[in-house]
Amino acid sequence: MKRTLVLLCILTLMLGCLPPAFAAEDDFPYICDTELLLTDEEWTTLERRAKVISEQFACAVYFVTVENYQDYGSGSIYEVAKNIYLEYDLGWGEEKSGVLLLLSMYDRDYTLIAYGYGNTAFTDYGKDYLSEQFLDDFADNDWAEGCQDYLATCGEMLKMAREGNPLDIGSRVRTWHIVVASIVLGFLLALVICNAWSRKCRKKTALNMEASNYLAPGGMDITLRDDQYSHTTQTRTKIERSSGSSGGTTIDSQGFSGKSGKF
Amino acid sequence: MASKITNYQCPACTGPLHFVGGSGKLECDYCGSSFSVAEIEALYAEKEAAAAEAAAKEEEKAAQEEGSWEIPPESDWGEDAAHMRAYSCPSCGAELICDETTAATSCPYCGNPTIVPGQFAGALRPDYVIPFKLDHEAAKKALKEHYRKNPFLPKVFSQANHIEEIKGVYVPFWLFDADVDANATFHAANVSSREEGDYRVTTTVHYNVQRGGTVQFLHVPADASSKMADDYMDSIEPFDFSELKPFSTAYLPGYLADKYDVDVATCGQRADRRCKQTAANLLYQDVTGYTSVSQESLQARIRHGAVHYALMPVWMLTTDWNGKKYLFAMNGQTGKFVGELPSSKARFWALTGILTAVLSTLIGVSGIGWLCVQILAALFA
Repeated sequence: MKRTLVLLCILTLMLGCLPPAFAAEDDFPYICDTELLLTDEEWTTLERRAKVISEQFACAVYFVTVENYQDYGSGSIYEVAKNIYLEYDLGWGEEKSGVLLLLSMYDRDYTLIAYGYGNTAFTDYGKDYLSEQFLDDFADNDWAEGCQDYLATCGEMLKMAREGNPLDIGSRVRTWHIVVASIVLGFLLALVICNAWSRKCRKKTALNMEASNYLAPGGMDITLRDDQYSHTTQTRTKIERSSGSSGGTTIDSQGFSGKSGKF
Repeated sequence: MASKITNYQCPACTGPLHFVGGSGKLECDYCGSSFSVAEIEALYAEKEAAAAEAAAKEEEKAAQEEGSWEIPPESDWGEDAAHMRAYSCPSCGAELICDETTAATSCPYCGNPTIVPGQFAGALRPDYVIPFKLDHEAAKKALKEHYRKNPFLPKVFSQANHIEEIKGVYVPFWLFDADVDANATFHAANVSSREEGDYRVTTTVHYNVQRGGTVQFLHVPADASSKMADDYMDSIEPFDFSELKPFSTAYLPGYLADKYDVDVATCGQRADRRCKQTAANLLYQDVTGYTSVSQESLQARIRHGAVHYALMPVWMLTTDWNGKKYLFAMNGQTGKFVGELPSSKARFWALTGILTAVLSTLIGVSGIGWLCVQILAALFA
């Protein structure tokens, strides 16, 4: 079955036109492995899993491999992935929600794009986190493991998003995190205070190197005050502006968000 | 070979007299009579002179006689014998063995205060004395307060330890008058900063600054007793020298007193260092209006002035705990109290624990904890 679908995928992707029936959610495979990186058994398992996740969270999860993304359109891999997503009418429901990971084997490029509800579930921080889960596997040419990690993490992130807490900067902060941080900070402060207090209480005796208590009345006569300008120096330092990222998802004008890189 | 010593006896009942700091008078423990220092001085002037003369004769005689005795090479006293003096208590006749620098003490047998007039005769006579203002009870109270202020003190220390010894001592000091002519150069700078586009521009304007002048010091004290730790004596400063009195042995009964055994030259070096350092600090403090100042050079010349010999009132307290002795000193004039106390690790961690609980609650409730977690999440994101 996989071979048939793969051939169909290649054909449709290469032709750049899609029959209406193929564009349907049920027809386009979630795992479109045109490079035949997966065995039949692996593909079947992963396809089933991707379908379950997509249905469970109403957000399609796609994994596509191609020889060279430039064969499928012009522009960056990100642009090509967007075109594929739009042209083949991918996504779930009216919102066309989904996330798509495209691997281009020629230059080992990848892009991860999200659309619709996918933008909510897969924030910029979330995409970074997701990439970290599969990149090491793909770097080792462990395609099945990488795809499995991709699907598993997508499932976790979609679950978090459906629970109203999409993975983002600070989203994983739990009450116990705050409690632990408060205790650690409180302990460090208490340690500093008690240490200083203890030192003060010990009141060690010391030789006095000062005699200001024994100045004669009016006994200080400053007869020379001379302040001479010497020179001026100037330094210029580039200001490192912080990204100011406070989380969320950066969405482009077409409604997509994504990140790209190499594996 | 007991030397002559005197004790001040009450003219009314012949009981022993003690100088009482609170009243500034000599008081009799037995009949309660009190006498001013001037009255007792007048009464005992002749007696002291006679005692000093007798002491000198005794010493001369002893020196002549020393050659006739055969001292065993391994005498029990050894070299210490050369630094000891024997006196006869005028009250009970007991023989008192004292350090050669002891000038006032009390008889261990009858408890009567005794003075060794010869120790303060002629060139050895102090110029001034600051009489004790605070008594024995004030010293004990100050020690308790010292304990109370230290929450890290082992509880058993204040309960189990006992004051082993508490003694009021007139400590010999040299008081130095000096003028310091000082000249110092400094590097000073004013730093300002502004943003220009993506750059922060920091402008530093440098100055060469010079300050010079004369600083006069009066009565810079230096402890002249080798028996007293210099750091303790320095730590109970300052003394209020407006209360200096011309020396009289009438201030000594009831207290211990030593004559100096560290000479002017040795103490003078310490006083010089203090004066120079203070002059340098004063010149530094005069350089104002800059964001940073650093001293580049200092030239200081001391013009030595008068040196006075004075006795200062100090309460010395010794306590014993766990086989270790703890020494405390209190300024007998101002009450300034110093001395190191042991610290309990258990108490330290208990207090840290309590403070942690309080601070953690405040941090958690105020939202600082949440803020910290957010910052950490952003840093590690």
